[in-house]
Amino acid sequence: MITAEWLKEKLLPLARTKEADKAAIVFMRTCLQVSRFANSLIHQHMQDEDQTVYFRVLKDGRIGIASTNSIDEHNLKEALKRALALAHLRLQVKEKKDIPFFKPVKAAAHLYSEETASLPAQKRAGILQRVFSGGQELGVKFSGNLYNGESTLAVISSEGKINHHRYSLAGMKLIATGAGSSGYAAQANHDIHKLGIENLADTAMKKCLHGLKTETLKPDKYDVILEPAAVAELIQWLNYIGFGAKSVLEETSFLWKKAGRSITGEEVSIYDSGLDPDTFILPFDFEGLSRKKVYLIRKGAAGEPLTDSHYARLLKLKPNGHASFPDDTGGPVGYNLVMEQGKASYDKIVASAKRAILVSRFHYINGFLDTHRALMTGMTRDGTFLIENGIPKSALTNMRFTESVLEAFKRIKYVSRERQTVADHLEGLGSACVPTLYIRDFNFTS
Amino acid sequence: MHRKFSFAIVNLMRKAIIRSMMHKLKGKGVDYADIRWVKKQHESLSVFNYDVENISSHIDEGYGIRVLCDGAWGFSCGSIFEEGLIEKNIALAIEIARVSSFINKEKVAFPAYPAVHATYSSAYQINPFEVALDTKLHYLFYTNELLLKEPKIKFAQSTLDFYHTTKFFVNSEGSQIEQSFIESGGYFEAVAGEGSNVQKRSYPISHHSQIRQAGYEYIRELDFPHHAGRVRDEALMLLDAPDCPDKETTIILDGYQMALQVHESCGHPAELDRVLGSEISYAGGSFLTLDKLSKFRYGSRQVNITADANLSGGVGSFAYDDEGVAAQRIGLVRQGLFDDYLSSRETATTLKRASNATMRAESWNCIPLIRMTNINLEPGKESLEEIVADTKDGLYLCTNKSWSIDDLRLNFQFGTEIAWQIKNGKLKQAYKNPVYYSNTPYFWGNCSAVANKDSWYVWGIPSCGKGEPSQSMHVGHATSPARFEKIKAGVRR
Repeated sequence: MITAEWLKEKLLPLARTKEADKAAIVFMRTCLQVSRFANSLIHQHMQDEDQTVYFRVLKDGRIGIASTNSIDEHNLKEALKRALALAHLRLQVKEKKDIPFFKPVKAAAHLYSEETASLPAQKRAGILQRVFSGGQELGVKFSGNLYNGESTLAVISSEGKINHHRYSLAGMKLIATGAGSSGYAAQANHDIHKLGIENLADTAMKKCLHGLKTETLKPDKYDVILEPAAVAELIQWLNYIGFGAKSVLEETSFLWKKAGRSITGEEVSIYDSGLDPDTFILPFDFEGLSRKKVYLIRKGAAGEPLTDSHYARLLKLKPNGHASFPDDTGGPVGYNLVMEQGKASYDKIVASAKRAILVSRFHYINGFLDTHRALMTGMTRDGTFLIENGIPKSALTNMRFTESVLEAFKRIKYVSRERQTVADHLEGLGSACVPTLYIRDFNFTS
Repeated sequence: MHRKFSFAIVNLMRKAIIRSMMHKLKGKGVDYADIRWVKKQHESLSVFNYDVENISSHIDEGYGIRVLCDGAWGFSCGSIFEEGLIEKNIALAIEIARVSSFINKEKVAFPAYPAVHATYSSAYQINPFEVALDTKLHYLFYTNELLLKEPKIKFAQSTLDFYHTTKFFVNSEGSQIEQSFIESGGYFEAVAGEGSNVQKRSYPISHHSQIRQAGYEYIRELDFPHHAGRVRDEALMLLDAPDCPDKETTIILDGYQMALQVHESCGHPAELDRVLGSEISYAGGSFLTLDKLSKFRYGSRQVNITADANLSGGVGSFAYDDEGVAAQRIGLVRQGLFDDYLSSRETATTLKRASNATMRAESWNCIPLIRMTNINLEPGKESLEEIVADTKDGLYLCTNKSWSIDDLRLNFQFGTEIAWQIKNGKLKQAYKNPVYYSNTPYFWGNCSAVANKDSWYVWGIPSCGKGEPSQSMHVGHATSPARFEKIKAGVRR
């Protein structure tokens, strides 16, 4: 186990190198145990344990970055040497870079469950056996994954400050399949006992069984009910193309020159907050700075972008603690995205629909079509239903949408009271807590 | 000299440890086992608006143990080469496999293969890790300078990436295979802007580096400075260009867009693990179901698609895959008829065929999956110029901008950075914001020409995602431009 004491003893002396003006070390370690299954058989079953130690060193306004996955003393020193060599290159510097000073933030101990971090394969297999048996009775097979593990993030400064965050994680994704139909359900939590596995299996199976009778709609504008997994995918793309300061600096973001101006309907408020308890808490960023709560869209008006120390300086803003991985050239991004809840219950939203398409999740969204409008395209997947007079009438074959998400967010009729935390630790860091949305006239193109 | 000597000693020690691990594994009654020791080095340099954005150097090393016990798989891995931890990981891999076996109702079929002893290194002339960083940065700065000459170019980025991967593979059948790959590549882009009208042009590809199995000589061949002026001017020109008209028309896709088209609509659906449902929860399934093998008309007679793991320079090339099977060249689509899948030792048994060697893992801590090797659209007979001259009315679409396809790989929509109008056999004005959309068999069925060897080029994509946990793989595509009839194209909506 990597403790704060270990970090202090092994890495702090390296961060205090005399050969740089400043230095910082980012330590990231993830241990995952994954049972992946298809057709109700475990086909990929694994344990993965790895860490990365990034060295960022500053010399005369230049930063060199090197990393290693070894925690052997010799290899750590070699990585530091490589970072120093890169920072010492005699280059012309237009904008001098810096490594910011940070204050230690309080560690959150309640996010760690020993049982979840180390649940063995046998226990996961037992859970899956029960899920598979439940499906067998109804002629349904399951594909997906069940995982558990833990993650540690630490940032160490040359001033001797250490921010250290350790948490356990678990998740389940289920795709129930049968007779050409499929249904989706997923959940993630710090505690494997809080995944609600029986509910997930029920939801996936119900969606699959509802999908046995399928019809096809012609491309047109339809009202949609987007469930949380679908909403989260749209918001993650907004994050990718427009919430970060780099896209604002590049003038490609929908937030560019829009601060305080209306860009969506008033029902929409989205923020990023590292301490939001409905997300996987990440109290500090990869520069060690506290992740502040930042409204990106507030009651429909554009907010401020997510910044790190570098882009904050370039945009003449204050850093708000959203530095990404040390070598990520994409700039700051949000890892704790929250869309504020509405007043309507999910059941009321469905019951209110005269004719609407219910979308469980999207597939392969691409948001590069026109980033100023947040114009995106993507397919529906694993549970698309036609709701008529508040009742599911039939399943629908998957459809492609091409739609400006900002314009669609001006046509929101309901935002649900209930929200869900959407995270997939097998795909990457970050989570979003989002509601269900009812949107009028969503544009399906093929 | 001392440094090289010490590396050699470490390598010898690592190999001895891996052999000893395999010896222990064989004594534990497993049906099959393999161990891969992988070391990866990645150097990345990026200059953004005439300032260094990133200079980084990464080294990653470890071993992965895959075992088949009682007809089920288990995998464990580690990055610390200590005896106690290795023992623990061996026991864990076996335990995981036995647990799977206990609940799985079907056993894995895994045919034996002959043992192989081999060593392979990819070809290169200049080791990119021995080229001075100053030289690389000067190249990037000079490219930036050329791109930023016009004030309407809002930002410019130029990037180089270099990879060195070494693998040592042993298995319980007695194979010992050592492979080393050097890859080099880069790209640059210029973004022109006037208010919310933002247009980008990139070279040689967009979004990420174009990579080859090659040394620094490939960076010279790419010759960024030679292309910078054209790319800059086209980005500026697009600011005033009209939107691409909406119509059903003839389209010609450039070589890189063809690479993406082959990747998404042929490479992925031909992966046999997807067909059998292994990837349903993430990447999806495939419309190329087993009943279609050797019967299904995938495209017109012009369409010949191969998977060639021996292609010179392709980043999907190797001598042996991560199951110890020798690299092959196979036909996936022959004269439009779908003829084979990408397979592994396990999945090929479904077809009563042998593996065609496509199992690769991103790194030591990943399970090998069926991955595209170099999936190529074989060249046709006419030159690109002849194809354009033979087109009365249409669009020539260049450089991918957006991509999306459904989970069965049928319904797709792509956008490109620029479209050129074709009128009476000649390229005319440029259009901005073009997209085209179609359905895979219809699209390939309407392929009316593929350009010849003169414009056939080996593209390298460094970021093909698959698997849970997700793996990002380097895959290759050799393609030339091709023409398609009656395709819906137009502007983004």
